[in-house]
Amino acid sequence: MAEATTQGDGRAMQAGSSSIPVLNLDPYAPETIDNPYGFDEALREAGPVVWLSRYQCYATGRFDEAQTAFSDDSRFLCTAGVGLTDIRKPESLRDKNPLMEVEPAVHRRVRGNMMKILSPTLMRSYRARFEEKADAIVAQMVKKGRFDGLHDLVEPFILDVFPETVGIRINPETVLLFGDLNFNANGPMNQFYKEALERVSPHLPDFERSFRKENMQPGGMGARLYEEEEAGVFEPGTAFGFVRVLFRGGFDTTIAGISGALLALSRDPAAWAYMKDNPDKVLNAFDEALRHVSPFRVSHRVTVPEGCEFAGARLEGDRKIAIFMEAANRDPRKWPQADRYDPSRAAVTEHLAFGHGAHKCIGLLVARYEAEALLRAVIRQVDQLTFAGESEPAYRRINTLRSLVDLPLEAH
Amino acid sequence: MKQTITVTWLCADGASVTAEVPLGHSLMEAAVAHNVPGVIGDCGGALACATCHVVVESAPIPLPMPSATEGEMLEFTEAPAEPSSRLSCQIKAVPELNGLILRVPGP
Ligand code: HEM
Repeated sequence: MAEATTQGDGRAMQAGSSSIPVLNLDPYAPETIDNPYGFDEALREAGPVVWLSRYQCYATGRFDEAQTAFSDDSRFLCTAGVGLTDIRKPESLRDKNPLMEVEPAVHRRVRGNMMKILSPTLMRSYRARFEEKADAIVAQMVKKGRFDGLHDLVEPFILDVFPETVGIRINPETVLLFGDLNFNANGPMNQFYKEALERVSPHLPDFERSFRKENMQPGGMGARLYEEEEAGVFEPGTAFGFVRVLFRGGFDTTIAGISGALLALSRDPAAWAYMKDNPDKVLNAFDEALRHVSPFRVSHRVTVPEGCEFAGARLEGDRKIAIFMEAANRDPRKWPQADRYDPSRAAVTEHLAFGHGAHKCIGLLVARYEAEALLRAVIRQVDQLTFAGESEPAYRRINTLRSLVDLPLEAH
Repeated sequence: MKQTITVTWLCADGASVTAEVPLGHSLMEAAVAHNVPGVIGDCGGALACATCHVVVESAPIPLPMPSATEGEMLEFTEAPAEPSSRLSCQIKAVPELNGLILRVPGP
């Protein structure tokens, strides 16, 4: 399957990049989206950094290199956007995200001020509400016996608690459409992206309205962000973008992560038994699910204008590098028995599913408390959880998000 | 060379836990692994939750200064921070810290 060569196309031969293997595979081809692990292995084994000829960018799938590319802002920046396309170029239809896609110094200041609002003290104050709601919805599932863990359980739960946490009102009828578009737009402008755009376009104005000031709930995170904008803490006009990135970053990813954990627990009796015996380790079940099947497959940085040395090679300046967390999180150099779901493994929290370094997910505590509440309720209330699908679980065809189509489960 | 260091946690209820911590491990991880009450690590060591708060009671050498972010996060601990408070996910076991004594502040 690997087609790595060292001569490659013209582009790759320029500017001293001849030592970098060229990979001519397409990480966004339908069959790769359906099952990406062959691609991921080819990427990892081709070299610590490769040239992805189809998309004219560098890529890495190894743990150590991915960690470095995420966190070393003397070599890698977010200023060209964290998607595949360069947001500085007009053909990229994405607008700049005022938290992520900015200079390191601006990011540090903005993030510091945002953290005062998304403080752990505030996050902890949500936990009791998460737990109460999780206990109630899981009790309904247990009564049903057989249910769809995605559409009947995880989606309604997150839809119930997450908009309220961000402090916005959203239209529950259409909100589930948007993940397609967001996470397709971070990849190439291929068929998946175009189809999602077509499906979602009619609802976009309605969705975007959810992030406007008049739709903030009193006392919520969103309202606080607008207040701080008015007080001059944030640049005028940025609060909208902050509220939007919080919601977009935290909705589909969390649904994908929690349903992934339920799938893994339902298919692996040893893992289920371990969780029944160690219910206080419920966050390990979530972390391991995020490592094993990372919802956020890939993110990007751009090399500094002057270029840089990386993993023993010389990278050209101003080039995108794709960081495949999905591959790094199964790198056998870091993870023994990487393909196995094992919530009892060592260093279970060290995965890159939330990123790494200065941009590491700012909402991870929200995601963790939501996951903890729901998974804990399942582990407490259910004796036996089994996967009731007739075939292998299928994933939605979205360029950069790995998320289940459905999740038939049985609970006794 | 010894591959672990001895660390003691004085718990809020008056009990104490002493454990051998492998070099390179964070003291949050070590406390969680040894079920030290009050050290939780909700965020998994990402410097995002302030639930691994400890107070350094006695250290063989001064610890490296906390980073700016750790300083900011110390404002969000459940028990009020003290002058020698630290977030233990940011302290790694190194040979020089053998014999370190930490206190877990009570509610
Ligand atoms: C399982 C759930 C989640 C996953 C897998 C996830 C993943 C990620 C990743 C990988 C990054 C870093 C991207 C990069 O550096 O290129 C990130 C950043 C971010 N996430 Fe999450 N996330 C999750 C939940 C959330 C939640 C619940 C929120 C909001 C409450 C959120 C809001 C954000 C924001 C605003 C950033 C940008 C941070 C910055 O640039 O400083 N995420 N997330």
